[in-house]
Amino acid sequence: MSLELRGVTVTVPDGDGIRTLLDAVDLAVAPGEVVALTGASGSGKSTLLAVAGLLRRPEAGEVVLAGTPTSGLGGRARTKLRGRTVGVVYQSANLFPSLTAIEQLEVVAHVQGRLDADARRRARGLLADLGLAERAGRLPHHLSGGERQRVGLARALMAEPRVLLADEPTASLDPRLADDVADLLAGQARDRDLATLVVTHDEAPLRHADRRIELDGGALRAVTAAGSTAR
Amino acid sequence: MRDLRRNWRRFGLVGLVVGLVAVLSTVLSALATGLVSDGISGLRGLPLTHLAFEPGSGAVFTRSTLDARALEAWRATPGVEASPLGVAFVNAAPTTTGPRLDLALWGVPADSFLVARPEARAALSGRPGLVLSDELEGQVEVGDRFTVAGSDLELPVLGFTYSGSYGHVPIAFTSLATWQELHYGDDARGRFSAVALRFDGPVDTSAVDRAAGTATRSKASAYSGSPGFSAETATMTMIRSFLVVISALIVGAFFTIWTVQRTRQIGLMKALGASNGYIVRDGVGQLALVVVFFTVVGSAAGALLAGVAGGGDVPIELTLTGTVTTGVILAVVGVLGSAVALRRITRVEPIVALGVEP
Ligand SMILES: Nc1ncnc2c1ncn2[C@@H]1O[C@H](COP(=O)(O)OP(=O)(O)OP(=O)(O)O)[C@@H](O)[C@H]1O
Ligand SMILES: [Mg+2]
Repeated sequence: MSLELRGVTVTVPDGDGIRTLLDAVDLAVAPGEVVALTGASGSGKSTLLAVAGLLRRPEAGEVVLAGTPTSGLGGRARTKLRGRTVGVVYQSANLFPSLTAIEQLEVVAHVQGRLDADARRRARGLLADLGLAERAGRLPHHLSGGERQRVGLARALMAEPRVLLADEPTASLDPRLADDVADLLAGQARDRDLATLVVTHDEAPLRHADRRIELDGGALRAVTAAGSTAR
Repeated sequence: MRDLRRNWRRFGLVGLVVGLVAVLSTVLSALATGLVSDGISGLRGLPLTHLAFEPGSGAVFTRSTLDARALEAWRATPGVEASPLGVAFVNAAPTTTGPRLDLALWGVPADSFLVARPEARAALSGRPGLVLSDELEGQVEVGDRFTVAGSDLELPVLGFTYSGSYGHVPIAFTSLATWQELHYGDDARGRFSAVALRFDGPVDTSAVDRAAGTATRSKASAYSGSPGFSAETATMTMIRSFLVVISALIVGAFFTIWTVQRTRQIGLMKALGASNGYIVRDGVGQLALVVVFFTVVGSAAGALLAGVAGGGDVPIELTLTGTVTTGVILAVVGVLGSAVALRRITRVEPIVALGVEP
């Protein structure tokens, strides 16, 4: 398993009391497996994604990333592990407004102190793979929505992660583009053997997923049986 | 570095303010140097190391009166050169042509160690007259005659020397005898203002002071006795410190706002694996570039402005070290001002990249 959550519990302050957003959640995603996560707005999908990607510490439980248990890691070690093993695709891409498409990718290597000729070549290659070779020098506001989302996907792949997380990657696209992006995302995930978790409300990512789970009342439930179990 | 490249307009505004502060600071620093010069350049230029005043005079020449007893006690001290010195502020009226002059009239004996040049020595030992500061050259000619401070004595201008000014008026040297006659009339009884001293070995000044009935000050500490000197330097120092603080606050405020606006981006950087150190270096680096650039430009512009404004009645004295020191202090303190936002950067949680409140 490239991504495993064991008994993950997240609570958030809610008025005077606290609310249990994730209640001892278990989840395992295998390399190359694409899992779609649905759930009502506010049910905690983004929070679950954040916990899986080491963007937030859970109140209890264990997250195992690429074989590494993370609950005992300090801040620096978490940052480093996150940078090298997790790629995240955001809703409406979340690109840096002042960076060109190619720089969106290069900054990933720069942040990790590894921006060399090899990384630059890999960035070009990734853009080309996703049909963006012509767009390398453009700033985000000169890209279409679909192009932005593809740049976002390329950026998530730049660090050669083991886990790919996507938070409503197609929510801001029209249905035809959404299907292209979802197809591309699932295809890349399988080609690269990435354990992939996609939060979505849309049809497109659901069609391209291997299995589908739903977050409801703090617990995960399988929606299509197809070889998966509810945990 | 990239925000700076593509958002230079936003940085331009804070840069402009930093630059203007630098302009102002440079001009003020030149003015401060000029004022100091105007106040004490005459005293600073004299080859003395200490001054013995009347106790209680607070290093103010015009409040201090000493006589032969003090002088003899100092002269008798081994390793010390001592010379009487008379200082008075006077108004000189022309008897023929020329302007009325405000002068700091300094009386010294012709054989004093204070008088170094032979021609000055000759001028002071001859008939009574005035040796004026070179800044009056052009307004006044050698041979012009003046009466000083209501006395009947008519004094010709004997020549000019680089005597500088004291208390913001040009210095005029005259012999001590002439000074005493102008100041005390027939009743001088050997009195003068202070004893100029020169020594570099160890001297027990307090013992001699007791014997001589004097209070000795080092040269630099006697500057404060120049009229207005303490108030001017204090005011200037205060204004300049305020400017430095203002610059730091502006940079700090800008950096804080910029950080808050970039919160999501900072979270995104962290999500991509950026350490706090990386993000702080990146932010402060960009800011430092802006601050240093605009400080340099502002200082240069200020130097230019000071160069143009100087030379007239305004006592502006532009020095390279003064300008550079001011610029460096501004830049360093400006960049330090960004420290106020560092906590904000380190506190950003990577989860904000997902648009979830941390
Ligand atoms: N630190 C926090 N403090 C208070 N409330 C929080 C915190 N983090 C999350 N929440 C709340 O938890 C709930 C779940 O948030 P989350 O963003 O994970 O939901 P979501 O399923 O992604 O919703 P959406 O579909 O609208 O994106 C929301 O009501 C949110 O306000
Ligand atoms: Mg969400």
